[in-house]
Amino acid sequence: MTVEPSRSMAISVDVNGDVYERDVDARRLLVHFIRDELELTGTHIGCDTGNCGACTVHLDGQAVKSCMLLAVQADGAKVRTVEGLAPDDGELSPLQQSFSSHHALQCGYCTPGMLMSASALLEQNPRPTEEEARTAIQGNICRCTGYVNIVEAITSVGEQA
Amino acid sequence: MSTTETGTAPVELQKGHVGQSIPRKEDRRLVQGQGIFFDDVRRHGMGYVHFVRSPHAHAKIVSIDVAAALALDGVYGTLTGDEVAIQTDPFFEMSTAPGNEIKDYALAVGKVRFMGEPVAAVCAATRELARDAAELVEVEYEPLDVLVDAREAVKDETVMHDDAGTNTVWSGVFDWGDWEGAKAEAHRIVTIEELHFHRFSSTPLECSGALVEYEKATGQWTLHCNHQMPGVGAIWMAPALRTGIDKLRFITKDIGGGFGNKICLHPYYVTLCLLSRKLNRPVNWTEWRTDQHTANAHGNERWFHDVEVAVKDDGTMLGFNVKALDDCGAFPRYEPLGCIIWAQVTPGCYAWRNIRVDFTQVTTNKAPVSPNRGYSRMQHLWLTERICDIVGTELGIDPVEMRKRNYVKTEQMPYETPNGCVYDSGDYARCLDIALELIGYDTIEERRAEALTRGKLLGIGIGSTLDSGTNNFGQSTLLNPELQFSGNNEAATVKLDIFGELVVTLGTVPQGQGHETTASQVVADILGCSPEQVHVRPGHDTFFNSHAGFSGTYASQFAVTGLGAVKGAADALRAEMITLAAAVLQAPEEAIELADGFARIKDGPPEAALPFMALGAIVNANNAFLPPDFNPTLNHRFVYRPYFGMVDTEKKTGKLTLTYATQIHACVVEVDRETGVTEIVDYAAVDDCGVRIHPQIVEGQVHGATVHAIGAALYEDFVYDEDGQLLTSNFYDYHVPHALDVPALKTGAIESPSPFTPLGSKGMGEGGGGGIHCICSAIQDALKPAGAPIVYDSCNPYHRVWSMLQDPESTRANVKVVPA
Amino acid sequence: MTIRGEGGERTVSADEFFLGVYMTVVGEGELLLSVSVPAAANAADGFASITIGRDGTCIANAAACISGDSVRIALGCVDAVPVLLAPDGSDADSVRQAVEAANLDPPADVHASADYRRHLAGVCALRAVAQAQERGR
Repeated sequence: MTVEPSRSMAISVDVNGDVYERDVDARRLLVHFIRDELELTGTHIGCDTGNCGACTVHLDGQAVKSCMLLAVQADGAKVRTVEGLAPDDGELSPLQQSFSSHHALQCGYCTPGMLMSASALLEQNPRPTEEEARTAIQGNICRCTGYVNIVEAITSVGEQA
Repeated sequence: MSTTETGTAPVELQKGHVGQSIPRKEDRRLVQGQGIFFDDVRRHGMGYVHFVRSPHAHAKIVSIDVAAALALDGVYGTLTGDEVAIQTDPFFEMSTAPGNEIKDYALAVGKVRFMGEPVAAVCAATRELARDAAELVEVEYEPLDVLVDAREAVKDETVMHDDAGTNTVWSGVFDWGDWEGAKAEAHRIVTIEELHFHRFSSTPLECSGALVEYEKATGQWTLHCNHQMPGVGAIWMAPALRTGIDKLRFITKDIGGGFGNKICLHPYYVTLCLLSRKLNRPVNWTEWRTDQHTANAHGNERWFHDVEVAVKDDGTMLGFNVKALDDCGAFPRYEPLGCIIWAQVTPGCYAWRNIRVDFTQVTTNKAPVSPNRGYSRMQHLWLTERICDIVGTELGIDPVEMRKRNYVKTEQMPYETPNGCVYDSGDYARCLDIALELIGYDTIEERRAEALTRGKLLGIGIGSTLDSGTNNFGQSTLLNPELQFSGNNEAATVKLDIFGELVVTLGTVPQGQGHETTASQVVADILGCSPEQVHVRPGHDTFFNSHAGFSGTYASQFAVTGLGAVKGAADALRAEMITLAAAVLQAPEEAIELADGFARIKDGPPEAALPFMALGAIVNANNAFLPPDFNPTLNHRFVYRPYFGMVDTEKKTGKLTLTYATQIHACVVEVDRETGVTEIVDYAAVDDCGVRIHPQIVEGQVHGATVHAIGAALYEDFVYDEDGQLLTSNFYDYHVPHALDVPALKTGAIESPSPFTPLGSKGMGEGGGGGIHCICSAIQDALKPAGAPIVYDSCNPYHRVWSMLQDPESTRANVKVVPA
Repeated sequence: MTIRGEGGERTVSADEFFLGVYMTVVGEGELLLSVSVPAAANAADGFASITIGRDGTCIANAAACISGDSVRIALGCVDAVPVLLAPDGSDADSVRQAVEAANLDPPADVHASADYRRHLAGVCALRAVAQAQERGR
């Protein structure tokens, strides 16, 4: 007897502290779930092969590329997106502030993914070296900055830690 | 590391906020993920579009059957080339006959001419469903012979566009100075049989796309999009759609990079316009990365054949003669403009006076080209830099010596080139000295010897380039005298509103260049307030009515045209604010100053001061007391128009562009002798763009342009196989530099103000591909002990370097030196 | 290598595991759960690769393991599955002979011709063995 696989699934995901319960297409990518269904459009899409990292979010504390996961794989997990980085008081996080003061962004399209990769690094390693910072964002492509100022923005937050 | 010094004396400029690296206004929203990119815009009932694309590079379309797609639940509708051919006219072509007979439609009509060409479009309720439905569209093709090599295409044995009857888009000879005389004067002629500038693009991280809405009642289309040159986009689209230009409203907010690659989006956008009208619903198309690589915008590929260089024994270069063959892919969309844009930098940085270029552009069965950072000049500057290094190598003259001997000198500025362009200012030799100092040129021989002990061949290279900014569109008439384009313009509006808010509306279409910030600096200095008090509206909107015919963000010009317009509008507002304040305070206008957010009497009592809010309120809401003949608006739209004069279509000369920023790059590479693996171990970029409005933004542009060039020089190449299949259609095979690939970049700057611009600034940002030139130069230098091969291609991935190590002779056979 | 499916777990050797380019014996409804590498006493490993940029697509690579007199090399990117070599010794001549004897016929692509890839495989094999020797000291 063959069973027709189900095409959708009910999931419950905690995103930036809010719990969302949704029926999602089994094949829907996590990034499309975040952008199109939760309308959290800070998470971006820059490729279709997992190379660019614009879609990077935290899944249970780990930086992951949300285009390489299905939405259903996030069932029961805690997801953090760029919208969840700044504290609630309207201030920027030190990393966000550092990106601005070091001119670590131009068009800003890769920035959310960069911030998520960098913040995951800083949570594990508060004082990264330049090489460690470069390695942490190796999976994030930026076409504007040449990475120079991004690396400085990350390491200088570390120096203040 | 960075170093800055001032070159020639700056023009009179009041520097307050201008010249400071103030925090960017754009950053706060972008670091919080609150930027508004086109794909973030949603509309009720919108459908998602997916294109059916050709798997063939060249084929007849026998039939298209959309029935199975339409039968799928949730599919809203389809569009095919047959409908496009009925409902639209082909896009306007800029070439002369017969190249202008090419018919270019929004979707393929009758024939496909490159892999990935859109053949049909499907619109459905979700992205996934649209993609599924597109797979159900059945297209029958009859494959045809494929042209992937311009050198074959030019023979016309296979013709891609039957209407034109030839693959040649444009062809012509440029002959400036006296080439025959230069040959007679020369001691030697150095010849190079063939050089190749490869095909790549800047691949902005945000792909192209739009959300298009149609309003049936008025026939109005609204495009929430990322087109970087909407004025020209509308010139292509409106006639094709048989509508008026004001029926196309372009709205952009944040754009995820453009680099020229978002200029030729009109075929896609016309398809979306037709679909939104046909289905009577908003439609979104977001390009997939693979589709962008395969079918959107590549940079111009160019061959240089039979190069002849007239030189003296001391290395003085008198001129050159070359046949250039440009490959524009399947359709000449922005082309043939690339056949003339290079002429903005005809002599490169050098003082040779006799230049002859026989230029031909052809179509091939590859993706159409579009302007790409450094558009058309980069290819030509690569040629001049290759010539300089090859001549130096053959004559045994040091590359630094070659350049210093041949550079245009700072005391010659402003310098008129052989084709009538005017280099406004600069000091190339000084920039080179700074670059060499930054890379430690004086220790290079010791480092070379040390590297050899590790099996590495070390080399040093120089790339001297110009970034020409602010186009004179009259140069198009040097290609086709019938074209009705000349000059340039950009608009901006500055107003003081009722509550004292200063609002700036730009005509430009920023994609990361920080226009909101730099515009606020200029306005703040003119109106005597802080940049925080100046609100610059993000993005572009046709309905702001603050744009001009050439509005957009392209071709290195904002610091001149965009800020020139902002300055003009702010100056007009300032004059009116002073007149108004003088009337209210009953003082002569000369006594009024604008400072600290007030219009006040200079050295007057504290109460003789009006806050901006008072001025705004008087004009907008409390104006009964103003005399009848005084009608201030406090709302000024200004169109900045650089003066060029007319070009000479007979001699093909004229002022093709207004400003010339300099970039001198120097680098040190190490080549692994065993594998050909090449690593950049030291890199310096020195930039001179005149007065810098915001030095941090300038340096950021230098970093970005440099890393684009590093990627292009070592990795990025759109390679096609003989069947016209693209082999590098994603970021696995098309490797762009990642963080670990980029060396520590050292930058330097000098400021040679432009005498021709409102702020002494020059356009910058494209760079001139300096990194490509200097890496080619460094690889050639490194390989000198290994048979001295000649670098003949602009892209040198490991396999090509390894081939040169294996067989230097065949590259050397490309070059000859003969006595004149 | 341990694979689990509806029918339970099974363990296969690396030789059996790889079938071709992007193809393994992991079937529909199965997942690769774990890879166990036996720890050889007194063994030293080395690895060398040629990638596009520092960490991009790999053009050729080699892993080497030296354990006493036994030398084993695995070459990647030169065939549909990894190629295992067992040279007679860890000296350069033995490694070169082993690579030659393997008669590699690697695929050509946009990054490397067959010749170039074959050459790189040889270079990587030597470098991986040299690194293993260095680390074994």
